Amino acid sequence: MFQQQDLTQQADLAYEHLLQVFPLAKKFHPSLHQRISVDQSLKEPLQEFNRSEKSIIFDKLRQTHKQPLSSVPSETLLYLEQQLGDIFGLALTSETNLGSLPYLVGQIEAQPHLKSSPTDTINNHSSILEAGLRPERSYYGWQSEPYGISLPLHELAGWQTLSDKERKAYLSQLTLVINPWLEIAIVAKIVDIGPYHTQRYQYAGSPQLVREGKFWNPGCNGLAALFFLESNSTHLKTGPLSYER
Amino acid sequence: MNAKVIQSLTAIVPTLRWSDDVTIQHLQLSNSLTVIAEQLSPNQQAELAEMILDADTPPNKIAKWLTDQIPQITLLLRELESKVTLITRNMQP
Repeated sequence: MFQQQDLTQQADLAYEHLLQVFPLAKKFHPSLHQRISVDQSLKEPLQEFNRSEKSIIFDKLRQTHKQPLSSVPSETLLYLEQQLGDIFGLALTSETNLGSLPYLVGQIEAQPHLKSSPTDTINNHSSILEAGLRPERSYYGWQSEPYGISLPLHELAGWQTLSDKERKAYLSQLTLVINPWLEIAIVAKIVDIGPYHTQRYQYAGSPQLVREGKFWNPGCNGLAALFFLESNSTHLKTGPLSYER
Repeated sequence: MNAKVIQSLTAIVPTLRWSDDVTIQHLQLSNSLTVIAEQLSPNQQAELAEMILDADTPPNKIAKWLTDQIPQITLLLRELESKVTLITRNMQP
């Protein structure tokens, strides 16, 4: 059995032999050690470049936080959808079939747990019990999704004219909720409609979503960016998304 | 330049498999070049090095040149490939 060290020795010997037979090969086939150090020296600036490029993208996302979506230039929106989509490896969009929500980056309200059945009690929930349990059922019925988000879908143009079935179709829609300051992304499912008054809060998140997204971390102040995932992403599991930072 | 040599050799034997591991790939390339160089005169070696270093010479042209100079090159490269496969198979994870 060989080990990596043996293999390196073999490669060094093979290289020495090559240079005896064909000295000119040195001009286009560097030694293994030279090659590794060149690879390393190229890798570091590339990583640095990737890091700074990502921070530019997140900066741009943060800049949209005081602007209604209608005043964000369409090329900025497209840029964010494409670049963030590349970072997270997902197809993102800020629009639904019925148009867009009023804000891309909005204030997220921490909601209590939603009831998963008529007899559900707070003790049936395994974590963040201090968030409490909402007594009423969600618009979309009993919910057991830990990473749930409520969106003011009633503000979409044409929502009022939708049939009940069409409204229920949004229940299977996945979203990506991003903490633009800490660059955390969570795949969340739409579980309810709301907040009904959107002056103060534009979204509402389940206890797990708000906790893991660290949206109330100083600096972020409850601001969250929201994108819809294209329908081909339905196989995704909800929860924090790991990606190369 | 390594990539150009790999492309040239792969043009001769399209089924040649190159490892993603830098060390194994280096070993594969050194062995291949040694076997090729052993079949060439010093002048031919100089000509080959010049073609590899010349940015305007495409890998296909190098492949054609090598096949013309060394008719048995396909066989030689295949033999080498199996040797490297054997070494890597015996590598401890």
